[in-house]
Amino acid sequence: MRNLTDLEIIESVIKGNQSDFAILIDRYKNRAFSMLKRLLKNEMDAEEVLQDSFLKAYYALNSFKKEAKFSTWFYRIVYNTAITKISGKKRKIEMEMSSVEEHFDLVSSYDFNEAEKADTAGFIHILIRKLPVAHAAVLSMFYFSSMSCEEISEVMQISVSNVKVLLYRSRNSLRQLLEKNNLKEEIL
Amino acid sequence: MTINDDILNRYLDGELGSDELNELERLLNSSPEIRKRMDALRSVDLALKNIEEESPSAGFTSSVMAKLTGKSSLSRSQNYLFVFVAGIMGILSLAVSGYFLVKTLNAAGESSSQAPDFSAYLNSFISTLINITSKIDLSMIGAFISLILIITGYFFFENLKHLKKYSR
Repeated sequence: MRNLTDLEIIESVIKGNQSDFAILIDRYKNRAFSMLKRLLKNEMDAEEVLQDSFLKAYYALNSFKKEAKFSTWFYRIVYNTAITKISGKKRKIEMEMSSVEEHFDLVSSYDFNEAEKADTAGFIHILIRKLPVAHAAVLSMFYFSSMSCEEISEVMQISVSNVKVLLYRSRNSLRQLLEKNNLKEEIL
Repeated sequence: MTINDDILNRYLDGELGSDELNELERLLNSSPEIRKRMDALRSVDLALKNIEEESPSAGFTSSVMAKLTGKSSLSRSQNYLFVFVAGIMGILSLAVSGYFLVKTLNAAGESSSQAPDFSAYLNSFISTLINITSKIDLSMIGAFISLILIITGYFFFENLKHLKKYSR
């Protein structure tokens, strides 16, 4: 049962085997949760949005086009639900061009203490959490979900070149921070 | 070739053309400064690749499935209630119509010693209905129709709410 493709599971659920939806949940919950935690900066909100996204996906399964990729379709639901949650909390939302043009400077805006630097695994987590929403979303989808820039552009409804701008800018900021804090060797 | 962060990122993702690739590799061998920047970028890439996935709480899957099952059974029970109410309404309507039909047939049978005629029954039934609607029973019919409208409206808006929540 675990070796079924996403499409086979979806067809089974549509035929009435509701319990098969649990396989899809188990398949995607960790990756989506990792992304949501970085977008929402809060574990409880991340879990609430993830649950809502799975419920939305379940009730919209009939509208899923079989020629599309389930992961891209599902991440779009997750991303949009997260953005709605963020805008509901009146946080700053970064949309396509505004986020790309926006200047953010991690290097000068944050000083890490020695304790934070000592925990190298946690250090990179802190760095990502300091990134703006759209940057964190691109990094999460690219690294945790192994999605291509084309797939990410579909999820976020922005151009592929803008996805690359966000990806490169995020990496460069993290690189500068590592260099500033002399952490390159420690992380490696 | 000017070596900027964009070129280094494209090199990391294997997106450089052969000319750019050869040029950059030559510079990486000859320039310690460029090599240092590239190494730092590789470190970031590796660190990001090594980040472990995080998981939601232990009972997450069963909690979502419980919500799905709960909603389905709620909607099933709403359907059962709807069928039950519609059934009661139907039986009541049949009983009321039957009562007046029997009453009409009896009245027509008493007033005529001849063999009963279907058109006479029909005329008599229609005139009885007209009499009912034009007298005191009109308020009863109004209340009956209002009740049906209220019950139908309740189910309609409940379903609409349910659809709206998950079609966004």
